[in-house]
Amino acid sequence: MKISRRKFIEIAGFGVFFSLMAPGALKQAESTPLRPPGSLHEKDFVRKCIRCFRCGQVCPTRAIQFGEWQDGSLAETPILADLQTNPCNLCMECTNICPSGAIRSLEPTISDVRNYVKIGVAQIKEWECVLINGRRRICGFCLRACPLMGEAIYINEQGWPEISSKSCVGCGLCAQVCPPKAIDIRGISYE
Amino acid sequence: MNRNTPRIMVQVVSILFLVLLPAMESYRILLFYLPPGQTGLLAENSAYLSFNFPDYLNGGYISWLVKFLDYAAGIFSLDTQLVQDFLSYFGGTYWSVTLAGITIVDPLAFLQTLPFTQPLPAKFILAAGIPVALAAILGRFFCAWICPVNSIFQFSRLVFTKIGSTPNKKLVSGDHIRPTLLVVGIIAPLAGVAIFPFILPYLSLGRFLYSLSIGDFLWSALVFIITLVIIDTFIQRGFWCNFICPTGLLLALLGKRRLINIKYNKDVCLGNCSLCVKACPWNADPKEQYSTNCTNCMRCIDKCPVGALSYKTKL
Repeated sequence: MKISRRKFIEIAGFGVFFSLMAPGALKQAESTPLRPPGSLHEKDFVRKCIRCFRCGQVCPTRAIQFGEWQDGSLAETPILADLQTNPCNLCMECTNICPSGAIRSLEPTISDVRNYVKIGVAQIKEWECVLINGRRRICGFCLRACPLMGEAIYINEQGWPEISSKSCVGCGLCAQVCPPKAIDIRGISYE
Repeated sequence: MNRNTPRIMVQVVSILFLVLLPAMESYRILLFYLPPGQTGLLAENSAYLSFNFPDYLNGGYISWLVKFLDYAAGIFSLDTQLVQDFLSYFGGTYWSVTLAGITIVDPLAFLQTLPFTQPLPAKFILAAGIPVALAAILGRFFCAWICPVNSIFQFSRLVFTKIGSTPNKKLVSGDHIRPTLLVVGIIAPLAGVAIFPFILPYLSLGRFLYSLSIGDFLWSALVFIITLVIIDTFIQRGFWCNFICPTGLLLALLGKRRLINIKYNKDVCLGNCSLCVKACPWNADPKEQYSTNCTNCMRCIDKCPVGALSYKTKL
């Protein structure tokens, strides 16, 4: 097949223009973001997500936000960007709506449900926690907000809150109520 | 009442859905915050709005529509849960849309996920199968009858042709970008790159309306669509639809042997009047048996002075 100069210039021009519009072609993301509960592992997720915005539309707490153009391959994919102000209340609406199965729906046959819906792990910044540093030691907001109360967050023998990285699903409800914002949600890497 | 009337009605309904669906989703989320049995009070009782509602109710057409939806819901039922269940049957844009509980996914979205490593869920294959089956029956009908961006193009052409714009330049010389784009867009997800969701204007329009519903304003999508409308009206007619849009090519290939088609009667035809070819905005030839670009818009049937064109069903 012979390609004339005009055809070549047209195809090249549109190629440049569309790769600017589809930012994943230019930049791969370096860090792994927090994904909605039940998501596939990051590599499969980016391939399988069709960028249809349905999960963000049904999210009642608006925990699901979307990547920006400058995020490269993460653009328009669901990211739990700010769990401290918009925590996930684990309603599982997004798992039911996702048409392509990038966010897998919960089947009754799944045995290890908590691992299945794991978003990340909460982490207490010890130098900011009231119970660890405060003199009067009356707080425990995180303990009461946790849906797995006493299991994911518990009070250890020193009277300090501690997070079990095995049980915590990383919903961010504790991070929302923490008065000094001493709790961060950290992503988990599978490799 | 001519043959264009049903098509224009479908186009208006499709645009109406596109505008309504983000508001319905917003209202459904709002119902999570309302006490039970309190639908239909939003417009009268502005005290509700001062309550700690999310930002997306504060402005734009969405807040107005949400109030309207609340009023409409209040007529039928006061039960918050019932209204919420009803609204869960609607949502999305034309990339992935749920209407009356049936989810339909664009076949391009299906092709984009083909380099998968995990099995695809059955509901996804079913959702992508519906437009494929429709295309096998009706051909490329989505472009002329449903696509909201084509409706905007059509309206803009109608307005500016009367003023006297003659779009006769050639930005794209032939039909070689569509196949390239289709092939590249199907292969690119192997590298984790999605192309189709970012370049399709009907999806950009849906995304823009969605961004309004979360209190955002997506300039890039709006600028993209306005640029396309300007190019289509003043520089080259059918610039996007006939030469670039991969959806159009895919649906044309799927509907290659469509069951509903334009029938051309050679014996009646005057031979050299070519009014039908001039009337066709889709770069198709009505005198061909299965013209690839034909969208079954039925403009040519009206134009023919001797009735040589008709549509036939092969069911």
